[in-house]
Amino acid sequence: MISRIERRLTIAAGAFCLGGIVLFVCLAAAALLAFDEPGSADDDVLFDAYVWRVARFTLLQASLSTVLSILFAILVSRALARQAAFPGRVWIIRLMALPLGLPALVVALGLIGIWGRQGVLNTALVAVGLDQPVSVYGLSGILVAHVFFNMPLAARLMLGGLERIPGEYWLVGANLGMRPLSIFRFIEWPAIRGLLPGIAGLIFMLCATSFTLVLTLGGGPAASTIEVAIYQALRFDFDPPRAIALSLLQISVTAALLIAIRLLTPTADEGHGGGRRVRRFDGRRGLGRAVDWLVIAFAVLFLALPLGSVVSSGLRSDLVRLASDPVVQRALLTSVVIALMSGLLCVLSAALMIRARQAALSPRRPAMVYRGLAAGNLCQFVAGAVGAAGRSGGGLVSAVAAARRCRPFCAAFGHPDQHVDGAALRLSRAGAGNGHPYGPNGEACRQPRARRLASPAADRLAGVAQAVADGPVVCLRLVTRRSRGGGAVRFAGYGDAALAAVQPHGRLPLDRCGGTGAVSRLRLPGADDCRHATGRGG
Amino acid sequence: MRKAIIPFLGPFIAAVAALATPFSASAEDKVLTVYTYESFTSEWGPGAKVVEAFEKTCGCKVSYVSVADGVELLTRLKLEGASSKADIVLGLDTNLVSEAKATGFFAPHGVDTSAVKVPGGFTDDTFVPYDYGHFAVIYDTETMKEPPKSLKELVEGDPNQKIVIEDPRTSTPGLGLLLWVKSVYGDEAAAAWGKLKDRVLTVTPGWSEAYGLFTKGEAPMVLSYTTSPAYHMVAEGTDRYQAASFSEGHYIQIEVAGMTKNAKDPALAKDFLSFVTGLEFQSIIPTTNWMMPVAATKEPLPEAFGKLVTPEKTFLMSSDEVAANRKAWIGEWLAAMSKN
Repeated sequence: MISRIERRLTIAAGAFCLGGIVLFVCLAAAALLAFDEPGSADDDVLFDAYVWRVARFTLLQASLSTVLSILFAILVSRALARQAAFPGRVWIIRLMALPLGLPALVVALGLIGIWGRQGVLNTALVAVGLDQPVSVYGLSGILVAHVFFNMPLAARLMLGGLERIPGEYWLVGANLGMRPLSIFRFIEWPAIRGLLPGIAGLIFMLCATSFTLVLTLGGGPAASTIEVAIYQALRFDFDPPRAIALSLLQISVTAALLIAIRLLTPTADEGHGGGRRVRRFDGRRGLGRAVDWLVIAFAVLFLALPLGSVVSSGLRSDLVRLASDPVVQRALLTSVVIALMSGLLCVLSAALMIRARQAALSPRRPAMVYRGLAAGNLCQFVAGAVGAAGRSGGGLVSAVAAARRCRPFCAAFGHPDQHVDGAALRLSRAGAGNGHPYGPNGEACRQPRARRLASPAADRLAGVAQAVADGPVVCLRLVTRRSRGGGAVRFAGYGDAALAAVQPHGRLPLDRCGGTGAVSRLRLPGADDCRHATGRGG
Repeated sequence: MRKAIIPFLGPFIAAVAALATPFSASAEDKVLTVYTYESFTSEWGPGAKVVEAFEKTCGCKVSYVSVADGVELLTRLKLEGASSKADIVLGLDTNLVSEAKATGFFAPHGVDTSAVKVPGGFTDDTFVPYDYGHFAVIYDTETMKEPPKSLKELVEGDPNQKIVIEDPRTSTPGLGLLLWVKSVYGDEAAAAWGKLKDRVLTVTPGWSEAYGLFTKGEAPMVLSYTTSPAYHMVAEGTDRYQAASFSEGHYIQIEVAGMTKNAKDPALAKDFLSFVTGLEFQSIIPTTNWMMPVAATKEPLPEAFGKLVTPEKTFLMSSDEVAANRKAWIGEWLAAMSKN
């Protein structure tokens, strides 16, 4: 526990950073507003039709880009999480850090090297005898480019989330014989779901403020974002009030979307484990493994080919001479210095804001939770929408988004005395064959599912709950019920260990499982202190 | 261009730059502050040679403040207002002249420009032209055997032979093409854009993106300058890329320099303006800025320049006309190009 003063200091530091960012943006906006340039009133008609069209397109392309990036990222991160031993996995994950660090023009040319009219894809198509080239220019090109930029970002964030799932979950999942779909539904999806608002919001902002890629690959002015209109307003037109009005429009579109995402996806709890080494048991052979490998291979090709195209044109242009050129070296030094300094600044202010948010989150003042959330979001979309100094702004946003996921596990772990170290359930069934008589995770409690799974053998359940290692004990209650021609086995674990493991995110309250039918208490090996965890029903 | 929003931070950058610039120049008593665009001051640009040549004669120190391009120069001046440190502004083009004059920051130059020869005969009492180039469609001789011989042929040609153009909302060449089409087609410009639209592979935010796509082989044509082939011939030794000569004539871009009203040393500023039309400066321009000189050079231009297209007719709209109609014409362009 932190002291009251520490807590206040932490909050003050975070508020200071947030205030600094807001002040920075507002001062710039105010300075621009101070210019009283005439001439913005006479073209209001043009403004309206044009701006609404541009806003609509911004919304369309950014939403599609976000959805596609996230769907692709879910597949990739899941495949990578399951295939811990994939050759070169570490390098693949490092490769995924690359796209965001590249200038948009370089990426556009790299993508065109693959997807363009003279690109690898079309050349291959012509070689097979198809003569109509696939045209990348248009919405499809914008989407390809945005997925190229943002899928790796999303996948890395999600992979982090998947890897934070406690090892107990996988043990239990494996012991329950969960199928991949169930694993996804009950273990992986809840972990990903919690990350989605942050990731989706971040990607949406990056895509909504995209400029070079949208124009270059968009094929014509029908593909213009609000960002283009802002640039136009400040450049040839020099009309600061209009630029600010457009920026506000952009910020409100983004804010509305962020709020919508936040409302639509309830925040999920982080899983809480005992910190055992995480080992997954699924996707080790057969179809699952093949699919994972295919997904990873596809993602690697998708990312590496355009990068390769960039590298190969780089090599052709006398890299050695360039590298030894003092101008290039000076530019490199400048880049490194600026990147380091802004990176440091971003991480520092993000860390301060996160700590402040945590301090504000303390249970004493629940209202602050929401204010904290609001503050976090605010700085996300302000930084994104204003795109403050391009990359460094993006860095701040990613840092905030990433770090917001890392809430300490203790935050929601209400019973410190019910540790889950090593608690794992091993249920075996006499004559266990294929099939999953218990259903994945408490699902069996539901009657229809239970009926489907029922088998007489289940009644002869030799339930052994094993407390692996030396952790506190899991108390297991097996409930046998006969109903309509079949027996179903239900189980319920008492204590947070089993709860956390079997019901990762509290999807099914324990009460719904307990209470009916004959109860067979199993005496577990070394389960003398069962009382410790059996709050009820024991 | 990803940093499109940087103008947003203009005041801050201006403040930082203003704090940073005087230090480098405090050694000399007389300092001439020249605002210009980045490609002028880059290592490959004319900047360093120009400083060297001018400092030999003026007994002063030249200090550059550079921004992305000509359009941003004007924005910068408007943002800084009367507090601007600029003595000289070098790099506006003729389209911006009337807007620049309207700011009231510029003083008449009073330089004798009788030796200056620009196609179309541009003269002005506030701005001195220092180089020019004609816009042109550059084509790849390897993929295009029969380039268009006129703007009409470009507009009506085979839609499968694509061209990459720049956006008039964000770039000078893009605006140049808009004015070119307007000069040739007049009221029919919208219809012409409607036809040309099918030949346009994509519209890029700036020249670099368009030229990058072109040299990558994505399209056999790109909108650039008549001088672009000279660069390929001199710097790369290839004559693969050539400019298409259009029978109607070509639109011209003239780059100009002017002195500000609050120049610290008006005589020095005036000296610089007559220097930019002089022999030394004009000799530096062609192979560093890749534009045509407006007056005599020490040596004849490199052979490659002799092979360039020299337009028989030059289009140039008055900057007043451009300033008055630009928004409406861009609206017309948007409507024509966005139709399906």
